[in-house]
Amino acid sequence: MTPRLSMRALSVVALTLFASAPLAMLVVTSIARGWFYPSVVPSSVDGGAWAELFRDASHRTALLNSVVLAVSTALVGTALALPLGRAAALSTRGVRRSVALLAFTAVALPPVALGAGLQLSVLTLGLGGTVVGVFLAHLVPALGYLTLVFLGVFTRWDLRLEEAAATLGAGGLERWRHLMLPLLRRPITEALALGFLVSWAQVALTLLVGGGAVRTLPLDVLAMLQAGQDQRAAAGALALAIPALFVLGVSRVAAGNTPAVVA
Amino acid sequence: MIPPHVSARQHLLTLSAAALLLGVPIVVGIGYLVGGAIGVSGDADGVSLGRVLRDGAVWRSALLSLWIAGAGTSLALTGALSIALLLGGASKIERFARTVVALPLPVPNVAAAVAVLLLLSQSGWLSRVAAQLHLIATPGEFPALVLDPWAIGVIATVVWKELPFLALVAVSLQSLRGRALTDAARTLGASPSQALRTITLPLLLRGMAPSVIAVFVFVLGSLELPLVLAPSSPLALPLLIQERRQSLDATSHGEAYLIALLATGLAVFAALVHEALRRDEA
Repeated sequence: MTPRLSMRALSVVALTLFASAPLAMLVVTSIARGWFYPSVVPSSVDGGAWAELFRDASHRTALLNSVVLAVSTALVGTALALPLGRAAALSTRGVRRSVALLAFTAVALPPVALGAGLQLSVLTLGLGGTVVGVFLAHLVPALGYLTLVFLGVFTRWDLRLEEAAATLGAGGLERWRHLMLPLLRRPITEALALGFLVSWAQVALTLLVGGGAVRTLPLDVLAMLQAGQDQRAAAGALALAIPALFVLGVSRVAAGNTPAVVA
Repeated sequence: MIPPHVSARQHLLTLSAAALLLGVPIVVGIGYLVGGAIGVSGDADGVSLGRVLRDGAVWRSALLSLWIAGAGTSLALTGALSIALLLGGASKIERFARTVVALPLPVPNVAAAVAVLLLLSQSGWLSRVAAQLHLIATPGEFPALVLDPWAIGVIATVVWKELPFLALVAVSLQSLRGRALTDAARTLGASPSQALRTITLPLLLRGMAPSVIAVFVFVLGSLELPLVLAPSSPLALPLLIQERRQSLDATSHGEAYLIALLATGLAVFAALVHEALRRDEA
């Protein structure tokens, strides 16, 4: 084995350990039983923490809230960001830059600062401490991310395809149905995944705008950790990580199956 | 340029909707922060900027947050560059390594923080390994890597979470343009280290600058990582804002809004720099 090859093999092993060790730690802790210091491996395993996570009504509500918020943020965010990104991309360079700046600002604002301002706005609308109020708050950064995604997609978009379809008599609806949506399958799938993940992982905005009345899985995991329930917190953290990994995997597979590539 | 088959009126309407949907929450949010800071909205008493800027706790919190974001981003950047240079090729093993390293990318911050806590705390897995190897006798002898003054646990989590993103950017940049120019430099007689120093690294760093700014600013504003892993004194900036908002003293609420406003100013500045760098890059 040449020195360069062995260096490469070592790097791969180190990277595999680096990336997977924390996730493996969550898996082992969530199923460990009677794992006392200084044992390196648990003496036995069971699914008690997982069963408790799904048996407890308040955890089930938190999980349901998280799913509802993430799915609706993904759907509404994508539906809004697609036309916004397209309109910005078709505009002058100055408009494009301004929209990109606004979108990045929505993403970059510290959630605690944004949440403090949004909390007062949502309270004024009478939506403080409601799932709808939290959904509106999650939509702000999600719309920022997704607008940036579609702005990038439509900046590289080949308009000649649409023009050819229009010349051949295809109306607006037909162009979207038969040309644009099939071509946009990959970015739409990725945008849905990204919108889901932005809301699924959100803590600060949920905490501030939900005011403690709207429970979600990340907040429950934090509560379990603060209560010293490490095993349940590990199960909750994995319950957070698995759908996120799954969504990313599915979006990659779906993207790989896209029948056409945008020029 | 608007194509002929898109109605100009519809285009203008969509653009106005974009400005409203993206701009209004930001403007209203910042407006309420200003109102809260001067005591005309919310439950806060107005405070002066001078008072907040003279407050040592605010500076200590800002320094801790800047340290976490700076050190975490720099380490993640170093790792990402190493991956692009060592494992940026198209061989099976390199593609496998890049897939594996992307694993932490979608993991929510809370889950990452719990995992790192279980690994690095004084009763965590590394401490258990040290005890089995007779390097330590009690958990207290294991160095404090979480809730520690240097925020090592938070920085480790930042590296774990952000390295995959920066590595993806670095590998894609390297495959797009790095190789051809490096090869050209080598053909013209540059040594491998000269080509790396004068062509590859400057090109990669220039291309990665917007992503590095984005990572820095996300880490700076993160609440959940310091909440689980950072020391309680000084508090990271997002936690200080939260603590003052929850205080019983209405003046503290005003301070919270003012500190949040300063953090917002920093984020807007970062957004401007990000856009300027992106424009240069384009």
